[in-house]
Amino acid sequence: MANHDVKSVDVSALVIANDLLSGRSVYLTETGDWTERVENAWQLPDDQSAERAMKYAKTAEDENQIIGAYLVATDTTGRAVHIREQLRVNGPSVQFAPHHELINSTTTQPLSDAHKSLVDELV
Amino acid sequence: MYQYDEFDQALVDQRCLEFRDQVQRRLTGELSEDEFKPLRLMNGLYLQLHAYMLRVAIPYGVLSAEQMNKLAFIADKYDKGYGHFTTRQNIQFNWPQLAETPDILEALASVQMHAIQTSGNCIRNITTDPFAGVAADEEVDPRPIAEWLRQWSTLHPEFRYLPRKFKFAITGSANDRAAIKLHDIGLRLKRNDAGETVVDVWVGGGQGRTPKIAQLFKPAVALSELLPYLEAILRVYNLYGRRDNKYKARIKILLAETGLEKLQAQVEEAYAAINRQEFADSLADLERINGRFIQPDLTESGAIADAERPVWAMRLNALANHSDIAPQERKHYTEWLTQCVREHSHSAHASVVISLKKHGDIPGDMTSAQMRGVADIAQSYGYNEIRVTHRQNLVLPQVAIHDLVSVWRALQQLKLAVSNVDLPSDIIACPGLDYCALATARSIPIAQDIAQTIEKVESGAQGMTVNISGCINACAHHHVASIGILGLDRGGVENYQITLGGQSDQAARLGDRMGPGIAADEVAPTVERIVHFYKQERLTGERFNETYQRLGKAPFKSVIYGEEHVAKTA
Amino acid sequence: MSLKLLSIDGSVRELSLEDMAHSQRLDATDPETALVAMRKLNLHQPVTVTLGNSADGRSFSVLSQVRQHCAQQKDVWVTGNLLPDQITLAFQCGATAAVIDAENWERRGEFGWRNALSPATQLGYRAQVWSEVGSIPALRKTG
Repeated sequence: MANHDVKSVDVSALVIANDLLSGRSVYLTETGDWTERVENAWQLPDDQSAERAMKYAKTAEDENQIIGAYLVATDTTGRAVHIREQLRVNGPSVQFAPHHELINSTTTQPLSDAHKSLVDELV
Repeated sequence: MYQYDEFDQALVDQRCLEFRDQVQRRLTGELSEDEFKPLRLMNGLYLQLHAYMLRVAIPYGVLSAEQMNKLAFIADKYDKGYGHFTTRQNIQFNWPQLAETPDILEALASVQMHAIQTSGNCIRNITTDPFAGVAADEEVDPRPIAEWLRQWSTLHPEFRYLPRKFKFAITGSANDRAAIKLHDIGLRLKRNDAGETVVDVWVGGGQGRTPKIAQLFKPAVALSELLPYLEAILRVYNLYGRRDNKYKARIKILLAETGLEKLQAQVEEAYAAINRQEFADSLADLERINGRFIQPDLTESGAIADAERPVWAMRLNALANHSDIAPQERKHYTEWLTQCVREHSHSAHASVVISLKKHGDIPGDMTSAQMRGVADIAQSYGYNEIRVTHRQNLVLPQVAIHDLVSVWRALQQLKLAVSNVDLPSDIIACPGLDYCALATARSIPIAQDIAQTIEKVESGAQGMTVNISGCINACAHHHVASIGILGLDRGGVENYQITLGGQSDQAARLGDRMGPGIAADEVAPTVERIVHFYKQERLTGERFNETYQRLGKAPFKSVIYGEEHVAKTA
Repeated sequence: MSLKLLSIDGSVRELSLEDMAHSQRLDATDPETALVAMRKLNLHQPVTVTLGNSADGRSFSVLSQVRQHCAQQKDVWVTGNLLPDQITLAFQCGATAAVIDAENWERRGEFGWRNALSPATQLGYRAQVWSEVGSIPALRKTG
């Protein structure tokens, strides 16, 4: 299991949101754009910059670029403090669809072919 | 299976057009997020941690092979090649794009499916026994009644904005496999002395923050009275259910605060005032629905008269000695027969449970390739039909006994011949903090960890359930598991509370909380110790909950926390 | 303030305060009081039901009962801070017209309001039996 023992304080923050079209997590950059790459997020050192950033975010919401923007506390390395946002940044901690490639490449083909030939016979 | 008529089809088609228009208006900015959110939720489209999530309704858990193939198509074309089956017998897609969701709804409508009322404060997907219509112990087939209720509750104008969501479950068997006592309304179909179908109506069950077992609200309601009576319950709930606090808004709280007798009286009064003309045709409707259920013809050879039918265990034994099974395969095949194959009401057939709980995999997840494979099996051997269970598994309800070997081999190829159905690794787990915006802790990695840890010790622990919810909303039914696990956030750290002794069947019972929560990495070893302790202490034939009831909490607390800890805190 | 009356047949007309004065008022935002007051309604006079906010579903249970109680009354109107989606349900629960103030009317546009009672939007399984006063043809005809 991952270590969730987060001891650092909220030394900085970033703005996270969901992209309206894709729903994916996006981060506000210093130029006022939105990026899916957290390393390009605008690290906000203090309340004033956070306030300014949230104003940008509000505008972007009004312009229907993003939804659900909020401030995320980060530690000195720029990493989200809370596990919820760590998961948002990194994606699910579990490997989904593990047999996807395996089965697609090996086993279902014969079954599907068998079925196809059955359908061909019927038609 | 039920086949849509023109009206059913027009309704879902219209819904697609309407949603396409709404999405378009959202994308152009004509609708704000505040205006759009309730509209998308009415079509099952949520926003989760990483992306949108679309919850597709599978009415009473029944799917055709064609529908399963369409779900595979959607998973590949619009998602990441997989889907997640839920405890409401639905399926969720985790990565759809907003602009493509109208196309997904259209693909669903092309196979008589939709996502209507899979969210919001309305009547949700109605669930039932996954063995409905085929179980050897069934008195009344609940599926036509479930479809009847689906139609009554779909887009019902009076009940679109209830105080909170509302869940129905139906069973037609004394052995309740639909958890009817954990639902807002649970219906038990029976036959009366005259041979007519009557319905016991149970009200006020539910899980979440304040779990409750339902109470018998009205016994033996005639079918002609069922819809007006349910309408009366919903009307009383709609008018008087609490709307000031969403945690107190379910009907279980209205029942607890009003009292059984008084609420029954209020419902009787509402029932007497119901406009009966509206329901004048309700039995004709049920008849029409019955006529649209296409039942497979099982009257082929091989059936044995009931009187001559050997007990199921003996038949399984005989089946295991199938000549096509090589000696080195026999152990695995026998395990699969024992764990995954169930007696069917027709003696030449059996029902096959497909476990989606391979040790270490994500409970309820299925890849598109597996979906297609199962659809193929259903077409070849299963009369085109598949069921989704509330335990996040699948069922092939009718497979000819002589096809079982072929089905087993095909499932093996798909990595789905997993012989752990009803064993502790057959875990119910919600998506938890890996996906869900409401979650307070992760569920999936805990489930994976447990399943892998107990794989070697679980044999023989039949009927012992492990359910893991990632927050207090209890989507994974942790209150009614032999071992219930609830993930919470304690100061930014995931922490897991253990309950023991719950069950969701006809003798439904809520689990007892054992004590303080434990750390994530302690959960699997703790579950392993509990399984081991049970197997060591049980009397012959004793189920986990019976052992737990007989021994009491204390020894189990010692197993969880250690003797010393218990002595100190006593 | 000018008011629009959108009827279930799709017609729209300006509504005078006099029209409103002629109609009995029932406030569905307080259902218990409303259901008592319903018993005292003059069954031969129009009635206007004030609905709660769009997520307050109690209004629809009140409205359904008013419709049943006033079965012979042609005019059961709804008013309040209405949304188009809400009047769709109100019509299905038995309202025959919606009273909409000018500002609200402008905000959603005539199309938005009329769309709320288009036959397609009105599709549903529930049969309406008060059809002698105002039917919704798209609703399922049973039997």
